[in-house]
Amino acid sequence: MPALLQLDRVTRRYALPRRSLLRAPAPLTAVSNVSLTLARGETLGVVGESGSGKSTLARLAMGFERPDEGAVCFDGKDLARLSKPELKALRPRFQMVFQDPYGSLDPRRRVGWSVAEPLRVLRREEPAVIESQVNAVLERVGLRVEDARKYPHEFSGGQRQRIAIARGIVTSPDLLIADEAVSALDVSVQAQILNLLMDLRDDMGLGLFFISHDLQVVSSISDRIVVLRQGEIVDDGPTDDVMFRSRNAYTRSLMAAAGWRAARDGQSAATDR
Amino acid sequence: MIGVEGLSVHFNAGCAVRDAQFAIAPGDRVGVVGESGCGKSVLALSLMGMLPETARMSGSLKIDGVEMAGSDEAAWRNLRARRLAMIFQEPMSALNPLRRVGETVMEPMRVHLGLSRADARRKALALFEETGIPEPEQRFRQFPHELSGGQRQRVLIALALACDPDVLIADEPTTALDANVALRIITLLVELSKRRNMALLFISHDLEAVRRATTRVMIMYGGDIVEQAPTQSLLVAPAHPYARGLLATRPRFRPARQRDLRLPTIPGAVPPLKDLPIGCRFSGRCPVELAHCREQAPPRRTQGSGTVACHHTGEVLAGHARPIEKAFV
Repeated sequence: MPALLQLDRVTRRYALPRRSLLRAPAPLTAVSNVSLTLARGETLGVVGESGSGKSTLARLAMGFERPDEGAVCFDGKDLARLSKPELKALRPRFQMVFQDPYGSLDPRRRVGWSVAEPLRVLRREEPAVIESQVNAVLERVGLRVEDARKYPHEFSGGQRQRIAIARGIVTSPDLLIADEAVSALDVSVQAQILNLLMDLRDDMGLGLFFISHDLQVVSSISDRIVVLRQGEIVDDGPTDDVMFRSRNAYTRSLMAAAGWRAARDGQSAATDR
Repeated sequence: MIGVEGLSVHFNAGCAVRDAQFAIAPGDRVGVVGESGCGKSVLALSLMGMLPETARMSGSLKIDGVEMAGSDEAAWRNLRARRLAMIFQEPMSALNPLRRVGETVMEPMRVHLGLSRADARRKALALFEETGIPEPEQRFRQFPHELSGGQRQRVLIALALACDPDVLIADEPTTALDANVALRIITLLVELSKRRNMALLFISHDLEAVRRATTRVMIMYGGDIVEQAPTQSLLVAPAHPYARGLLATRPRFRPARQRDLRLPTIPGAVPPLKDLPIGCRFSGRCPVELAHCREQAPPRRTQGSGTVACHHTGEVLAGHARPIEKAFV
């Protein structure tokens, strides 16, 4: 059985703004030679600082962008080789949740409309079918059916992220890509949203591709961790191995900055309390 | 130097800060921790005399023994010029994008200290040096967009130091920065505070940042300072149920055998100002709530070397540490 998501030696370059009309713009390698796999029901965490290529990786995995080298395969299909209609037909099976629950929901549309959008666009379902699915998914993420008639500004940050997650799972995907999905939330709400993502992963057999700059958050739910720096994977492995035994200086600096005691004094402390 | 007693700030929607009481001495490094909407920033703005017009302040706020509650804008401007300074979270929006950063840092020295251009320039360059900006002469002529996030934050710190303040209020100064950069900024702030004997009020929701930056910390919830204690002891043994919840529910690494469990959570969310309970603000979310918590504001008690505002007695809070944490599921 092919992996749910597989990146095989993926490189993506962007052209920097031209310095001169006469010279070719300098390339910026946002993601360089990255390989990783993610199975159904598994959580793969990607950690990196800003500019490390995390979000580029997410866009590549979603097929929003094509790699310059290497291949991005979803369920064995190379996304770059699919036609537009083929990609669209596959898209219900992999969806994404963004960081900013304010920016990712249209403020002028009722919540029900936004949650239903993937069904309307990707599946062209009947209105009655759409409505019942939206209601079901809102309840699934801990909101009420009546909330479909409200506007995004009527919700708190945590509730808005629940709405964004509802939209992410309304097509019953196999893969959910979460790019900084809890970073904008208050600490006490982060755990609630992480628990929701874990529940959905376990109930729906979702593969969870979890991207964050916060090592503590990533290592609280991920089975495996990939550490990204300047577009390259500098460290990866099962979460416990990385947290307890990583020899990589950069990973250890991230741990120290996150207050992870094992990195501070070299002991395998259970928590950082 | 700063003495606050019974300070409250009301907006039309409700009470954003209630009955705050604390003192800050020269060289103190004090953290203010809480979630968004808990009154941290309103508290900071009231110390700066920068509350919006719609806010009503009551109680006492003394700076150098002078009562500032109800004083006019001229008095505040004088204080802000010489004694108080503030840095904000967004280093991009706090700098004028159309001015070279050197000019921006020179301005307050020219206006408030009456320095000549040459003197202001010399002093600004020295501040760039002191705040760890590499190649100060070159940075001086650059625009904000040419600097990295960490460097912009250093420029803002240099700007805040322009008139040698006695108190620096830093409102989420590291939130927008990468972990490693944030760490260096915190180190810088601590060094500056020690070297200049400058008080630092460090506002953050990041407990790790607060642990490194401060020696004392105030936990805010719903406008109340619910607990105040030395940073080390509070992070090891918090007393107030909210402080405990905040520490216990922070997502952090779990080994594989625990990772299938759900994370502990504080149920619900911080209510909007108008819906805050009139008694203990944390009632409705507190796992050890008593019958009268919702109606009566909790008393403020001394506990160890700090204070706690909770209806539970100190003995209960001290003796039942585990059960309260267990209650957050």
